[in-house]
Amino acid sequence: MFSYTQEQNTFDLEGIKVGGQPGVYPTLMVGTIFYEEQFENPKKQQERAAELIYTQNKLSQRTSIPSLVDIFVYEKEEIEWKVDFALEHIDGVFSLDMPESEVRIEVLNHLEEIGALEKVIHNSLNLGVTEREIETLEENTPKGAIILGYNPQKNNTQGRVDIIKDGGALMDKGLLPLAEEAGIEYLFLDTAATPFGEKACESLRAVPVFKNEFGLPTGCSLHNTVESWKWLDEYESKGNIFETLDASIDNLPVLLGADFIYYGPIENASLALPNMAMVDKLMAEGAEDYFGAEISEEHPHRSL
Amino acid sequence: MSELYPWPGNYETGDPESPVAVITLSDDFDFDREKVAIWGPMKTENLGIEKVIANVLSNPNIRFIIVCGEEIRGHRSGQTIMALIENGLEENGKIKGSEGAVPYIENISLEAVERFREQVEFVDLLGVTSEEEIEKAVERCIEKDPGSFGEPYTALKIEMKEETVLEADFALHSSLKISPWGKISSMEEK
Repeated sequence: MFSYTQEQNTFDLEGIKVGGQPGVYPTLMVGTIFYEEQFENPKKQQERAAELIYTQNKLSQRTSIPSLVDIFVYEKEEIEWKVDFALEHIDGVFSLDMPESEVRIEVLNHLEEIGALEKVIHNSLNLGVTEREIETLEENTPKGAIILGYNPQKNNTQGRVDIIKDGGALMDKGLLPLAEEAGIEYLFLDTAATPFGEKACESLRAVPVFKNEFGLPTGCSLHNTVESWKWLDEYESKGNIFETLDASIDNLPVLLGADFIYYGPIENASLALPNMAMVDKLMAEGAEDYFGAEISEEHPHRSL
Repeated sequence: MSELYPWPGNYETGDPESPVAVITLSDDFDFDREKVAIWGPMKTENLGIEKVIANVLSNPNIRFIIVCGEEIRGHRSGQTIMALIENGLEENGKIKGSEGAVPYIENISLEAVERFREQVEFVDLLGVTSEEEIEKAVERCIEKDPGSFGEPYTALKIEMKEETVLEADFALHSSLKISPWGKISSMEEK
């Protein structure tokens, strides 16, 4: 549908290409595991967790839609076993989703100790970053980072650009220069999903703006907007409404050129990946027919 | 008369004369409507807290906030609202002493935040899930009720000043130009 005059960087995650002009590479789908309430006793249900990862991998092979695993780490006590689990069951790069700065610091130190920094995408570098975390990122630098454009002070698209570019009114320096100075190689920009009523659509509008401004792989996790929609709790015919709407909302940023999607709980892979294969086929045909783009070899455009 | 609990959210309401509000964090408890004015979960350490502030200020009879239930992991919303009441805000809107992920108050005025801090006292039952224990705390608050804080206070949501341009000469965003051929570039580029 669109292409960008600004050069679009691509990164190669051990064989998975991410970024570039819309339609050329399939969308990277990231499924999250170990969310709160996903398992009753996550530590004891690692076999089930491994099965879900295996299923996502099989679906990636079947659909030519690449995927990564995102592992939620809430507390310091979970770091060791969750990282061990990831290294045992995941070939290649994985994302670690860590809401708290103190946990992110401990994780970076642990990854350095065991020599696994090269495997990890730090999710995320955001406004909550502390001086100590910045110092740790400089010393123990992960391979990649999700740079989150969340700006509670100014949550329109410009505010989201500001927090990444120069920190806006809330930080002395932007998150992107912080990441670059730390030496993080793979830089992924997240437009920061917000709830309805909190400028939710700006997370879509920011996709082309980020790609034009920074030329870096851009994506988002709009399933969070779906989950914060209170009306769905009252809706009578729930069925698998959340899974369906999660998959559906992910189509919108991709139309505008998004390169990756955090699609929510990994259980939803069987819906999310074929759905994205359909969207990527459309996008690839458009890019090929209209812009003469050369579509990548591994793509549902060719295989499905 | 000003509106009671003007900011929408996930909450239940009881007797507005009661001095007690209860934040149940990640849990879902029910309370005696004659004893508790308003209660409900609170997920986030920024937008969630803003809703609590606005709704509590609309009812000056509320003088106690009981913070109970299991903490919201990652967000630490329970610890954060208690830190707010205890310490207030830094200049850029960050909640002092919060251990939460992104603890910022940005959509509500400093005046409203300060009034909230004066109006209420918190009761720290973080992690407590025994309804019996929480109910006892409710009783203790009712016994200690210092009376209304005065007139209701309406906390307006701070909206960014943005002009809606119905006949804008841009699509998507003012920084972007889309050519008739679908090429996206910066507005200033020729």
